[in-house]
Amino acid sequence: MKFQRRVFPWLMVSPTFLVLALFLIYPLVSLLLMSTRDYGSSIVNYTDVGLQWYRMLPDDPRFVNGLWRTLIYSGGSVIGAMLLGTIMAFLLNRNYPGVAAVRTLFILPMISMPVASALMWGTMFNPNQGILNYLLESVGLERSLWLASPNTALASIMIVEIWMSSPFVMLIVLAGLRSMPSEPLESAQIDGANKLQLFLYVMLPMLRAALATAALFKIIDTLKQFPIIWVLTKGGPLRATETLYVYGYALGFQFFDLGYGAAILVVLLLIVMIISVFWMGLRQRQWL
Amino acid sequence: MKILFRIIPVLTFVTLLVLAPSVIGQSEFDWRRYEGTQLRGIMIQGPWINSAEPFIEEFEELTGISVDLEILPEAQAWDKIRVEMQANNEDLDLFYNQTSRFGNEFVDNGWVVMLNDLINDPSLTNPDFNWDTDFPDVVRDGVAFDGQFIGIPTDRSLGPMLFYRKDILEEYGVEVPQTMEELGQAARELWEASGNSIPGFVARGQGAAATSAFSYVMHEFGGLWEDAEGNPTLTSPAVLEALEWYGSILRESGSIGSTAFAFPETTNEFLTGNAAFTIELGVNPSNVANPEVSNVAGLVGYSVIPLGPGGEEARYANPCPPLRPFALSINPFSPDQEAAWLFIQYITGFEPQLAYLQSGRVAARQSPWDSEAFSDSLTDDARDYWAAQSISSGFCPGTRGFAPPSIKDTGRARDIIGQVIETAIIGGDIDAAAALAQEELEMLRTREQAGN
Repeated sequence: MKFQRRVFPWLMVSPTFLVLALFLIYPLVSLLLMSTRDYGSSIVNYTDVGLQWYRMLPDDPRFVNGLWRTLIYSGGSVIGAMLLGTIMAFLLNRNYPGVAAVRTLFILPMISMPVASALMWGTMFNPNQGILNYLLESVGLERSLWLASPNTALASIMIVEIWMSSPFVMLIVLAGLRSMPSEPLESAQIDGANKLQLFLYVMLPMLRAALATAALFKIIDTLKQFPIIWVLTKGGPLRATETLYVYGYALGFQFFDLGYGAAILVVLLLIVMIISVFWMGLRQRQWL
Repeated sequence: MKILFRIIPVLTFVTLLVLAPSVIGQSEFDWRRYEGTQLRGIMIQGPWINSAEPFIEEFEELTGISVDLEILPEAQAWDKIRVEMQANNEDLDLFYNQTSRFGNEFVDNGWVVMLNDLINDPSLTNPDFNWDTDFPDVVRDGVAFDGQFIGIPTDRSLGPMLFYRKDILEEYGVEVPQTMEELGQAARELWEASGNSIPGFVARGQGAAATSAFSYVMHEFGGLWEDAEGNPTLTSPAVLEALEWYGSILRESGSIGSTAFAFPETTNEFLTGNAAFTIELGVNPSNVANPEVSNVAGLVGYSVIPLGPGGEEARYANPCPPLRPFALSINPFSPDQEAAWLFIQYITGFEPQLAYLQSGRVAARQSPWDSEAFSDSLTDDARDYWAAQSISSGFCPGTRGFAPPSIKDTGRARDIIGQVIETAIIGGDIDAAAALAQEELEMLRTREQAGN
């Protein structure tokens, strides 16, 4: 009886704990240790350098620029995806023939492989043969350089990110709309609320939880976006799309500064954690 | 007469005695001594592995060794090879080595087996391998580091060429350019004359990947990566002039999007008919004629790269520094190095090298070049190609490779230089970008010299 009460619960949770230890705690500790080491030609022989890599970060322009770029990329993409996803959810929250098929079509970008999607968009962005410039020209606009210019490259990748992320937002908001009680809407309508007021003052507050959850997921995803950027630009041109993740990868696997690359990824991890905790704090205080 | 009868058997016996070792050596070379061994290698997607793949099965049947090759895109392969080396991975046996890029670094880090002992061991080296006689000196020197061979070359590097669309030039009445100035002019004219529908010139523009194509142009302008003391020379007038030319021709003849182009994109752009000129060496008669990848079969002309302001003098240095080719190398951490050596010998033998040559690449081994099988297989297109290539492969600029050879971390050096090339294409401040890159290269070199 004693055994059952004391040990049995631990036995029951041990598989979960083991999985966590193997796939979360071990890599995390490894990353932290790696960021305090200087590796030469071998990961077996290294020297401990303490926090040297972290002290170098503020003086590294690629890190500072990469940090800003990461925040701009994430912020812009999340705002875009939230707006587009919410609009899509409202459009699909109706009953008309074929709506189920349309919904399925709309979630295709979310379930497609990021690398395949990026390759497809890369073709579309081609300044000479891409369909996007063809469309621009057909309505009398100038061709854009898209990924080829440092002025437009980051925005172009954000378009792809928004295209891939908005179906996720749509699904969550749609679920929120579907589970929304009809009474508050009806009573607001009886009180004379117009459609805009209905949306702003009744529906939106009731969707707050769904929107906040979707935004948190997307913030985390976009802060650590890698495949789309790597496939489309590898951080160029002129490092205009080099986010922290891309810089960390280049350091670690192209220049073999494994220690410094790890330090940058630890900083990125901390940023993701701080933003997530802050966001959840706002939720708990009902500010979101 | 009697004496003759006595001498003949003696002579016959002596002759047999002299010939016997080589005959016995050939028939008795034991290909099956490592039967049952499994080899793993990392190779780069591209013409070499395409032509070598059919011979792998033959090797497996001959030796009983099974070979598992991971064939990856260039950048991914380099990353993976270096990661595995850094991890001292015993599971990797051999790899495709771009010695111009990784030679110094791999030798310095002890990441490659020196092959001299294996080559000189008659029990491990097939007598038909003929390392000393069938691989020309220039090829063997290319893989020699302090007299030690770090790989067996598959290639002699291609010389710089110009590929052009004969039909487009004819349609718009443009002559094949003989100088860099004429090439720039022709490319811009074609872009304009075609109503901005046919980019005049396409070449690599994506950061580090662009340094190889740019180096050919730089040499024609009389520029070098470094001076005699090994100091980088990115801000020299010749290099700056070459950067200006390279950037402006791409920008002004319809290929500004080339900042996203490395080897596959550039080759694809030309083969799918979207440019009039290119200097991309990924183009060759074999893929031009292949309808699966090419829309320009029969329409491509071949010439040496146009002469730049550096003149003939810039093309030939004496003595000529070694040209580092692609080669097959063995991982020093592998427990199956001798089995890997058997594979390397086989796959760089006559037949695989002939197939490689016939696919339009410059095979390292000499005998395929001299074979009837090769000369009989040449199409008119291929004859034009080889006529131009035979001239340009003789060019020898003062510093070779795709980054300053004195810098060991070629990857980082190429990344730094790539930023200047991108700046030139986009139309930015080349002088400022080159000055910054020069400073970064000098810092990198100083750090390396200090052992950091």
